[in-house]
Amino acid sequence: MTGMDLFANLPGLLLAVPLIFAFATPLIGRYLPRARDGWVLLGMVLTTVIGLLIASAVFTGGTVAYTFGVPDPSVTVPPDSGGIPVRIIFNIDAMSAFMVVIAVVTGLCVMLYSLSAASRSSGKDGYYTLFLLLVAGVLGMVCTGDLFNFFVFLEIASLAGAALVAFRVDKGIAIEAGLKYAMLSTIGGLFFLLGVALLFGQYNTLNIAFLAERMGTTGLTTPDAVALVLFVTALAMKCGAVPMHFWAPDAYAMAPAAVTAFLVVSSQASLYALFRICFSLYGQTLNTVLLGWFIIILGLLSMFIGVTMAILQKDVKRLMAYHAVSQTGYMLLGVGVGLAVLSSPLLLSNFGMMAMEGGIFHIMNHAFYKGLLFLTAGVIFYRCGTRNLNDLGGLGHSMKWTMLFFIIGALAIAGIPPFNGFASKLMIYESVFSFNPLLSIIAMVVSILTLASFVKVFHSIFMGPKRPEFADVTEAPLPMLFGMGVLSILVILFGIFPEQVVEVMVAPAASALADQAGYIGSVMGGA
Amino acid sequence: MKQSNIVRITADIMFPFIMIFGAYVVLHGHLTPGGGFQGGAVMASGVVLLLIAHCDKDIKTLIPTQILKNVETFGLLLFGLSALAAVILGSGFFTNWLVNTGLLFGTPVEYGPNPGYLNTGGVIPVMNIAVGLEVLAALSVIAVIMFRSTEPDCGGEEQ
Amino acid sequence: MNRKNGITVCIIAIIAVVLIYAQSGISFGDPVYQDMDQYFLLNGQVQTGGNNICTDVVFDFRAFDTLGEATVLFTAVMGVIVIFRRLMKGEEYEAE
Repeated sequence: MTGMDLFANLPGLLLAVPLIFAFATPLIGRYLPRARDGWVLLGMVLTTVIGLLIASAVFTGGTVAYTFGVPDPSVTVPPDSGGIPVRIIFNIDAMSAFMVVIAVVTGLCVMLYSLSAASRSSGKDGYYTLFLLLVAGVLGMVCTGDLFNFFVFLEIASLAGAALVAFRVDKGIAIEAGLKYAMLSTIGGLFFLLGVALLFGQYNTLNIAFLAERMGTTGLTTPDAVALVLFVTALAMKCGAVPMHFWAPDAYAMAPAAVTAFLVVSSQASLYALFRICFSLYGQTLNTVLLGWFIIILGLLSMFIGVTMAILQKDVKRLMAYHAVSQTGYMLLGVGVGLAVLSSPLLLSNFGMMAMEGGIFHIMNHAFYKGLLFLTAGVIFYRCGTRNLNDLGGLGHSMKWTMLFFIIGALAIAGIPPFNGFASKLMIYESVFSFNPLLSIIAMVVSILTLASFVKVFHSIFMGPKRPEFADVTEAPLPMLFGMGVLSILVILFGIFPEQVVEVMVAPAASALADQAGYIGSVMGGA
Repeated sequence: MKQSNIVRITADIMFPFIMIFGAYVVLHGHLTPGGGFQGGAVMASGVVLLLIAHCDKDIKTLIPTQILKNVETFGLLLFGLSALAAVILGSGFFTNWLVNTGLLFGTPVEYGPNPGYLNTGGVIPVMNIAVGLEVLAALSVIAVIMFRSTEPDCGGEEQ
Repeated sequence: MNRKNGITVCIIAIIAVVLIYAQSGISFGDPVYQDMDQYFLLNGQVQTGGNNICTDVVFDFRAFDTLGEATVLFTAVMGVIVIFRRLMKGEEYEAE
């Protein structure tokens, strides 16, 4: 086996590695329990390395198309097929690579954190197996260029996510949250499948690029429009946008903190798919102004309702969950503005691209700082056994590092410089202001409310005199601190050097998303 | 709850036939309708039949869950690794590396009707067997665990 | 029939009408594009060696989806094992 072959097969290995490690985990947990933690960590590290290698290949060399089941994976269209792609194709453009980076980095941090966070609970074999499956599901969702293949990975991610939400059982409360998540994911998944069926029935293909090409020649038919409605409904539900957000607070609050941090990424994979379908599949076939405004309104609702609901919460994780809904609104707003001006090259270059870059950059920033915040909430629960803000207090005396990480996360989510949330929010404010000043003002107000909410949380958890019931509370274990530390360093680095990040990863991702012809060309050739 | 003799004896007699039929569907998946998923589900229904007929006995000795879990893992690993073997042999992930080689399952097939040769299909029969084992074990494990958890009078302790 | 059931029936009816209307735009049994189906029918048997074209598609052309579906089942089993572990062993709630 030559190194060249392995390198050409990286996209396949990106999925094969977490899946095979996950399949073997129950067996290893049963017969070699001591090796299990090392085994799952090795699986996650290998996945991370492969993911980063693919991402760097994409950011330097352009889109990677990988065909499953043929001797040469770079041949997307069989020569004897008359120019149609017949097999499953992974079409990893800059946007996909961007999501892969988010998934593997967050996944690795969360896995490190889990090694000590899960140490007290039973059923760890199942926990690690499901976590690896969740990572594999998310990676599959963001890499695939095939609609049915996307559905399969959506199912894997949904089921693994639901089982992990219910992991702590918690006298049935967590199971209820898990059931809710599973039900809504199934409904969303079936909506998506119906949409896929409507498109497959007309165009006899499942490949997104080829579907887009055929749809471009046919024009938008009624079944296409219904399929779009089904896709947008399903994916908006899965990414937790208001008014389909009701599963998010339950699921995020009841899942183990480490899982919640990755569930955020899983929701963002659905968000990615929403953008992918709007831009790469429908794109110019559609009246993008209307759809863009629809997504903007979804974003505004999510931002505002999310933050106002968050202020009322007493459970720290529930509060953060509502903030996750609210922050999803920023991404929808930024990319929605880009979609609304997609058909006008002038407006697109004036502020549309910047709005999209802001929205996309915010996906990554949100994954890191919200992951960090959920992990700090998990540490607090791990040490104190409660998540109720009224019962907590004075932890700043004993958990200094956790307090520092919380401050970093809270300032980042509120959009205070020099943290990463500021960088992406500034891009969104500026560009959206040129589109419609009112939207930008609403976004800023939401940011202020977010800050207010987190000041309250910070005060009730860490400030005040040391409480007697938490007298023996000590700092979090080292692996947990390490997982949080990596995320905080990323939060600060991305806040100090946003331009470099935007230039290397975000701008290519945004232009890849806007460039429908390029997406089609990377599979169909030519263009 | 104890089932009547008729149910228990019929289940015992039917069990081997159900398993054989399921195995037939799995092994002939590349020639006749059916395949790993369908055959595996048939075989799992045999296990569930045993479970219902003998629910008063010790389920753990009747249906060894740990062996089923191992079979499930083995099936999945066989599936994954037979796909990964193609990468090691120098082609793409999931390439059918056994087809038309003349080796195991490697007899070439002409286009058009033929009586159905078992030794064809490349990795398809291998994956069919892998999926068949996985589905058999997975559905049985789900049934056994749910059964034992909901009716504690009938079950024993896990592991 | 109470009010809640009435709303449910209305929603189901609306969704059904929309979906039926949508699929009425697709000709049944004689699709406009048939090239991928034809490719499978003409080449499946020779390329994959299996007489059953359905299995050829499921385990060769789209084998990766099948691995995914097998993984879905595996995920379900792991989920059942994880969620029922307390019921089987009678464990109490423990900290995160």
